[in-house]
Amino acid sequence: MTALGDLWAALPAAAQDALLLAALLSPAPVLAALLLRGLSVGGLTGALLWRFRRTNLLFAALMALSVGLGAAVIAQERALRQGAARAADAFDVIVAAPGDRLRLMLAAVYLDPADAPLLRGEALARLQADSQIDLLAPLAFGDSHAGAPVVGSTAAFVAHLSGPLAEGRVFAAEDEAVAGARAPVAVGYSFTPAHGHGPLAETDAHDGVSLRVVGRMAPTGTPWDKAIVTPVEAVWNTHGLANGHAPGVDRIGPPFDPDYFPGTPAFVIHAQELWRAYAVQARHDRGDMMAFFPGAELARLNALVGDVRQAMSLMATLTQALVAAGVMAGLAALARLFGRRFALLRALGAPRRFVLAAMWSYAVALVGAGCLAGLGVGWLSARLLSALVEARTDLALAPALGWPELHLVAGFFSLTCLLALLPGLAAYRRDVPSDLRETA
Amino acid sequence: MRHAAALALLIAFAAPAAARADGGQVQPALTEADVGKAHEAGHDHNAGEPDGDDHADDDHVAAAPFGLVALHPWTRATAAREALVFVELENGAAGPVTLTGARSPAATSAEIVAFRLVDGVAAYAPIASLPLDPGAEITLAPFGLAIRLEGLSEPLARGARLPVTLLTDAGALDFVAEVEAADARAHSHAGHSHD
Repeated sequence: MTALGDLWAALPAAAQDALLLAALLSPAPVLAALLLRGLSVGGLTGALLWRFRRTNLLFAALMALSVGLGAAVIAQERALRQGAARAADAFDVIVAAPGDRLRLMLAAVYLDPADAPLLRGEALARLQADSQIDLLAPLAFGDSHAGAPVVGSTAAFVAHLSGPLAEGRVFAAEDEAVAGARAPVAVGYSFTPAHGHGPLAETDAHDGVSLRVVGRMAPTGTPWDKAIVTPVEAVWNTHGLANGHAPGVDRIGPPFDPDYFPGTPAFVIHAQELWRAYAVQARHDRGDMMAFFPGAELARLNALVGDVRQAMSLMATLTQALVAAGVMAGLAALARLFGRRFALLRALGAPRRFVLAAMWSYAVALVGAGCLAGLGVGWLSARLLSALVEARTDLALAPALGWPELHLVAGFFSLTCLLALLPGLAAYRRDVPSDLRETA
Repeated sequence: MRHAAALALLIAFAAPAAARADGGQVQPALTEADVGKAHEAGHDHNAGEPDGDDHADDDHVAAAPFGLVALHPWTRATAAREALVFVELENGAAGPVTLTGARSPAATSAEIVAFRLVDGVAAYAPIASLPLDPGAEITLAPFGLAIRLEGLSEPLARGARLPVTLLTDAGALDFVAEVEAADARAHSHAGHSHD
């Protein structure tokens, strides 16, 4: 058995998924081979499907809805998890004052505003002296404009986050800014940042400060698409603080002077190699600083809610099973209605198995149509759900039906093929003479 | 015949719902683990004595003569062919120590790996080396750094002991990892100190 287990483990994931799909779909052909052996039920099944086409359409539509919604919910959860994780790609390590890591991650990566104590000159000096850091950028949040967060950072961070800009150029002076791909400002637009966030932001707190948008970032699929990034010196200047450089130094950007560094709630760090990121995190995660990986925090969160995911899968399958059982009960009732017709066939010499096979094929055809349509419904619903979630969270989602959904539908199909024996058996066991004696 | 098919189908049907729901993560899904396990009575922690790279009386602490100390090495019970070993390391040497790899008599290969979440996919990627500053403390833990053993000779049962050797540029450090529950998130003694 372990040899088989090793063989299984050695297969690529796609092969494992495909084999599992084949295994899940196998009961249907096996049952068909057993039941339809030597019989030709196609004509009768086709006639049943056509004769009651409106009811059939209703049954198939019900199954399609339940299958589709179950598949869409699972696909949507995965798309959201991956979209949220992708947003953290640009943030290898975040360094902040000791506190709530999750809160800092939400503020820095997802621009969900939070008050945070500032890291000052000593922290800056230690970080700037670390040769294993390839990109060190302060993140100064707290202002906004027209609902978009205004964040102070460096030109290098903009390049790291967006890659080549979609429009214009990156800021080169204290009064310039770069807009996110979907920020509510156009290139060339000048604005005064408001202090704070949301509808209670104080729009007149920084009167006299004017920032001009000189570029637009490429879409990142993260909440940063709605943000406006300015030089961190602009944020300090706006709040009447030192500007990070000694007097007489007339440039923006790192390295900053620890003696004139007013402070920042967080630094984002990027290192070219993974081991460097870990070395940097270990070096600075002590005492008066906290250094952590947003990716690891997200993964820990995902692991905690993993149970919720499994519960969701289970609920989706149970709902589908319930709908299938309901449909089969309806079909079993139909078998009673067909009683006279089948009794006639039996009287003409058809074997009992013929009646069972015909009802079973009829039910399976309905289920098959429902499952295929369900995949379509699922795909559409996933896109609809994603559009709703994207509007809420500013994350770019890529919903797609993957192997988990295919396995779910295949398992449902096979289970229902088994359940489809019920209406068949209901027809199988009917008494021919009493059915024939019934008036139409 | 149909009963057997039904039973097989129900089992096959339940498996994907559980297996695929975790999004293909490397580790089994973690749940709220009971980490407050009872500490064995009469435990003697005589740490602080660098006993060379042989085991101390107490497997929780291991120290190498060049100054590297390993505290609370642990791993999770598994029936799979690979395992992640976690440990708290402290560089007590006067100079930097670089971790370069690992080995274990219970596995065919071992390497140091680091967790990364890229493009929404979680995985542990191997790293060639990791420098530790003098006096630095680093914790190998789930969703961070780990020592990955592959080709385990036999499944790990909870309560068992797994010998591991950590290789560095200054020498080797042997320690014995304790096998915790399959869904453990920390060593059962996490949070208490050895002095």
